[in-house]
Amino acid sequence: MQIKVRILILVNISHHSYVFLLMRDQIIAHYIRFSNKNGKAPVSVYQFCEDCGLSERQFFDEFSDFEHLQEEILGDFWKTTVSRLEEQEFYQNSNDSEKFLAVAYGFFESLKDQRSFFLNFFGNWNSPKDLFHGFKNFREVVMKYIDQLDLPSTDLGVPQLNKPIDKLNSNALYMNLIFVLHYWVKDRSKGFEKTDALIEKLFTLSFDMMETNSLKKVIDLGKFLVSDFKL
Amino acid sequence: MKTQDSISSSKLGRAVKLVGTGAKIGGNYLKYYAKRSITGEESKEGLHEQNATDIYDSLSELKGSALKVAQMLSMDKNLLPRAYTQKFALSQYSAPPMSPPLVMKVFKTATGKYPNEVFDQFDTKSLAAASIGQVHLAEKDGKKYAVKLQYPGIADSIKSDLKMVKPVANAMFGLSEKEMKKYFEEVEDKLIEETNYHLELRRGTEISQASAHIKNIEFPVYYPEFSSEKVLVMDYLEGLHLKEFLDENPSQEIKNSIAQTLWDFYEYQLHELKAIHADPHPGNFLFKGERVGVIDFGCIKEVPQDFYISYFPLLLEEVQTDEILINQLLTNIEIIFPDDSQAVKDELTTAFLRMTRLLSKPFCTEEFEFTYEFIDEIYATGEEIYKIQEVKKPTKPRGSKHALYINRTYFGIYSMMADLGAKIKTGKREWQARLFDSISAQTL
Repeated sequence: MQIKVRILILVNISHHSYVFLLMRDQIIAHYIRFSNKNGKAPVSVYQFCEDCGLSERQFFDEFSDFEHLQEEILGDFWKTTVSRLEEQEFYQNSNDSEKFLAVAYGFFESLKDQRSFFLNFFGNWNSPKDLFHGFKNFREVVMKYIDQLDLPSTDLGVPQLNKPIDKLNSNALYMNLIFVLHYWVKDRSKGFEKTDALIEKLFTLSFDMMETNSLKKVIDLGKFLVSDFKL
Repeated sequence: MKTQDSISSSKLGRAVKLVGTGAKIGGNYLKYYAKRSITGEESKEGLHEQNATDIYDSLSELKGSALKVAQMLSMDKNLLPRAYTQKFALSQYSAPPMSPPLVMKVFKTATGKYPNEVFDQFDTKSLAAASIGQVHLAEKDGKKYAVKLQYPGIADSIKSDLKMVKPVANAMFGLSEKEMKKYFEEVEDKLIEETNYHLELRRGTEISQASAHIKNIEFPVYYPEFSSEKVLVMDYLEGLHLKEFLDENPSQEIKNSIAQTLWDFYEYQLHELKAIHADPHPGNFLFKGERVGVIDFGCIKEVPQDFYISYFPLLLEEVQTDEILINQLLTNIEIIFPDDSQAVKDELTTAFLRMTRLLSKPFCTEEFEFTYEFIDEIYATGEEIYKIQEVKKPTKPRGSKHALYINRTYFGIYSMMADLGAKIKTGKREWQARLFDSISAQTL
């Protein structure tokens, strides 16, 4: 998870702390702050830049528009979680299903820091389906992460089928993640413990299903029905 | 053990599970009656066994408070036949563990650090599961620690769990709505308390310091500096659970010594501290030689004074023959009510006294030998009393809620004593004279 060092400048993130940040990260931080402060996202790039004392050029050097910026945000949270965990010994020693679970827990933990922003941010998406189709960048980041994991897979004995099925499994993991995201937005439990409980239940079940070759059984049933009942 | 996979997550999921249980039990009854109508026999015990298996299978999958309720119901001897009880006594062992990443996350959220930043070694596989949390082994500077972690969201789910169990318990165990209310309030309070590890730490420390003088007893030291609301760090105590301990064939002297330590510990708690470790589950005692290790102070029943002075005198032989006094005491603890008919009063008084005489046997002699015959007699008497109409389908909720956990505790202790075949010094303790004096002073 290498982030190329581009422009490092001194910026005012909150009103009292000065930190060195990449211009890109700095714009994102401003964007989050702007949205929290005003209760809604900025309307124009001009207004936003004026508010945080940047030139439009600085903005457009990094992002094509707000939509692009928004797309990057969730992916950033995911990447940061992964790189933080990669420093941890227990993470290095975990198997790949556990790694995914650890990242999922860490990811939702990190979202907590900016909950107000995300409630606002997700406000336009009402159903998990909407969420699922949004965030192309986030989806890419997550899928890339999943693809490099060695997750339990179903071997149907037909090599040509293994790849599409693995794809199906990673898609299912992403879909579950979006489902949790949707749940988290609505979660009112203390410390969002219920989200943690959901992550545990949902993903351990997903991995179990991948492991136990349930797909094989489904296909087996399908074959049986087709041959016996001429469906 | 396989890591937790598919717990029915939604309310609906749980409801379906429980409805499934109800249907299955109904099916067993059908089978029983069908079989009986053909063969004219088949023991009811067999039926209970079958039902217990089905309930146990379903409830143990539910985890959390439903599991606890299952245990509670199973231990309340007047409500359940023996077959259920034995099965449920083991249910604590069966809750499936959290995945290692969740263990990490829970620890980190609670303490701000990962376990490996606090300890030299930390085992992510759990040592034991309890109904609201699980225990992990850790090591630091060559010393072993037990780290108890709470399942996330457990406090939240207790209320909804109990709501789900209520109608089913109603149907399965035939409890009336009023009885249920009293029963469930007490259980709910205790369960919510159990989710507060700060409270457990304080009470565990208090009781273990106050009881440290009892011979051969050992408690873990708790470490507030590593603990929080969801994480409890204490010494790791070596030792075996009762069953495994007995499998190693210890001598009767050792068994008696252990039993004596346990007995003295409970006597001291109840009559001096007026607060007892009310979870006498076999998993909470660790035996090694003559030493008895006591862990898990999550469930402590504090005994209110007005209940204490009305309930425990009934165990005294001198009181059991004093009709006026008995009438007064039974009214105080709401077994009988002033507006009951004389017939109901008499029937309940006789039944209650019969049970109490039996249960108080150990207290009335200097020395007592706990046998399975004694336990069976308690069961049999309980089942017989349960046949009384006013006990089976009471017109009003009877009995103090405070008795619930105390009875359950003593029931657990008697069972352990019987397992040990213990012959110990039980009766004529100081509290008996003290209680009798205060009662006499009052009635004068």
